[in-house]
Amino acid sequence: MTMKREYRLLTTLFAGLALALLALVGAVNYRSGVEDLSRSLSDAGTRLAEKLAQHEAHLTALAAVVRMAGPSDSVHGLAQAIGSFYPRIVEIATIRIEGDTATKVRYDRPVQTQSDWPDITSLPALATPGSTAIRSRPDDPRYDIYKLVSPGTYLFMTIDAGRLIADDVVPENDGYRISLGENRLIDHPVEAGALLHATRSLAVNSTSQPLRLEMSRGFRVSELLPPIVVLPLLLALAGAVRFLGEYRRAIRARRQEELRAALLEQETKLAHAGRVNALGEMASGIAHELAQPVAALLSQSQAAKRAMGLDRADILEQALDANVREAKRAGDILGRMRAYIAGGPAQIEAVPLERALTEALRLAEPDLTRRGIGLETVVSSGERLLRIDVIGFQQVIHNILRNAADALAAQGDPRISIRAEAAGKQAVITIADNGPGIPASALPHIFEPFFTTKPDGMGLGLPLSARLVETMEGSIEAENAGGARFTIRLPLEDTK
Amino acid sequence: MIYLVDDDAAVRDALSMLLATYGKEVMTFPDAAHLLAHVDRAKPGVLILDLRLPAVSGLQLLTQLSAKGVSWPAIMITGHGDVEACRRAFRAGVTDFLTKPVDEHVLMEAITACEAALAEHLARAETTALLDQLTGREAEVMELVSKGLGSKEIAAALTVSVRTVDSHRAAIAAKLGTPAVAEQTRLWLAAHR
Repeated sequence: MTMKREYRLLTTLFAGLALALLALVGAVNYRSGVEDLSRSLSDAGTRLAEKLAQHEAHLTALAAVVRMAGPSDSVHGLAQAIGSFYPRIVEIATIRIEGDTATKVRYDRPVQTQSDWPDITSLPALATPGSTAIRSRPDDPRYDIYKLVSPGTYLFMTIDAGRLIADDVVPENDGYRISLGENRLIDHPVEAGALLHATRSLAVNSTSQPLRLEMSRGFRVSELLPPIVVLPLLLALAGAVRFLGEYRRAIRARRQEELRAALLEQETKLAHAGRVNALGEMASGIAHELAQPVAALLSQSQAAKRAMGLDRADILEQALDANVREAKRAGDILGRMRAYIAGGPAQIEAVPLERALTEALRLAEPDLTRRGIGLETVVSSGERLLRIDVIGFQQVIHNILRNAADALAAQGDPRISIRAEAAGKQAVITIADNGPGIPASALPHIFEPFFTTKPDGMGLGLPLSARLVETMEGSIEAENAGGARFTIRLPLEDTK
Repeated sequence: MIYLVDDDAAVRDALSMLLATYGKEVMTFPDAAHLLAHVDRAKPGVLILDLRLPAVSGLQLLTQLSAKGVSWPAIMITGHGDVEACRRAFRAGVTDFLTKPVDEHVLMEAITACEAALAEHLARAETTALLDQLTGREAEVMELVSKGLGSKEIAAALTVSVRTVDSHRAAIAAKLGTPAVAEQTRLWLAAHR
């Protein structure tokens, strides 16, 4: 898995868990808030019911006095006392009906008598003495209680609902509402800006004053998710997710390490088996590769012998020169075989880049010229010192050039271009031809021993080259760029 | 003339050097394509082909040469000759199959044999060319002549007049370049063996 995917996975995991955690904290806080609201409502309802019961008690007391004494100073005294003690009771009066007219006498202040009270038609129809009726007015916090004292005589009491709820009963910031039937007496809304709202209501326990009390609470984000709780939780979660990531990475790294070790072991076994199997193939390959110079040697030697008989010194010399060359070639082949089999240690020395290349090319140039192949060489920083095994380096260059020359056999205007330059601490040598390139199917295998596309190839030239370059702590790679292009990187001596 | 095809320059050089000491004229080619491009039908010769060549093998090259009407004797040489390769080479019509390194005397024997085969091949080709000039009727007459029949017998066999047979025989003598019955018969038999 890539680091990027890993990162994305952990981020998603963290985001998911964080959201779940936040939702949980929010839900818990909301639930406890709603429970608290219900408790407050219940308390407030009880306190309200007590107050309403007081009204009933006062009405009963007043009714008794009115019944016994009639409108009198006694009623006045009692009513005044009640009015001064209970500011929410804003009016106490009696209404008497005599024929078609009504007289209202107000007692809670200095006695006021209003003859011909106009609202006679709106009086509630009460039949049984002691029964009560309640009335409210739209958009008014006050409500009226009528109590029939005796036929034709009512007690009248007006309550200011706005004073029913004391400040300490309803928690700060909560909203509340008192309604009577359709009419809202008091509407104290909850503060704006909350994320969630909860509302609970109850019917106040009073037969004479069937009020409904409703309380609402708004929950802000900071209340649902208080930072002091959420932040440490998120930090702990982030830590856990990170730990999980590290743990997974460690597990995976260990598994990969095991896999690599297993693969390496298998590779080693395979390589060994391959070597054993390859011995027969190698013997056949050696025979084939040696057949060429030996064939040339035999024919030339026989030609030389005949040249002596013909007294042709020119042919004799030519044949002997060729014999020397071919015998050396056979020796080279044997040397390469030995080098491949033994993999002898590299004799590293520091050689100027240009000189190393010139010497390596000198070996190949006659063959290239004979084949009509143009060679272009560009060397920059040629004085920099290359750390190489000179013989090995020559073999590498020779192998690559020979492959290029073979590939160019059927090519019009065949050319090989060599470039060498310093790049930091390395020399980069590219050898490119304008041939058909390396078949794409062969490209991944060309450095494998015994892989060859040539009918008479052994498949050892490039693997040996790769091995030689590696012993010189360099690298070699092949690609197709117009034709085949080999890039060799070899270490340069530090310039001081 | 010897046409030599081998992808190894050293082998090419060595063989042509050796053949030069025998006074042979040699043309060398690194691969099949070069030979096909330069082969001259007017200059018939012996082919010496390496079995393993880049791109096109020695055997495939033989087939391609045949397609071009070149069917000269060929010697196949190879770095390692296995029985199967040898069998296939002979089936493809090679005259000899040699393994590298090739000994001078073995090679020269093979070349000599090939040269004889080439001469015969060329002679037959020449004869065939002469006989190809005959018309259908003249060929019928010539066939009977080669069987030893006289003009009268031929006339009877073909139910034509003796004069007609004689005029055909005059034309045959002119086209084959000889009035001698023995020579005419030799040519005919050489082509129809």
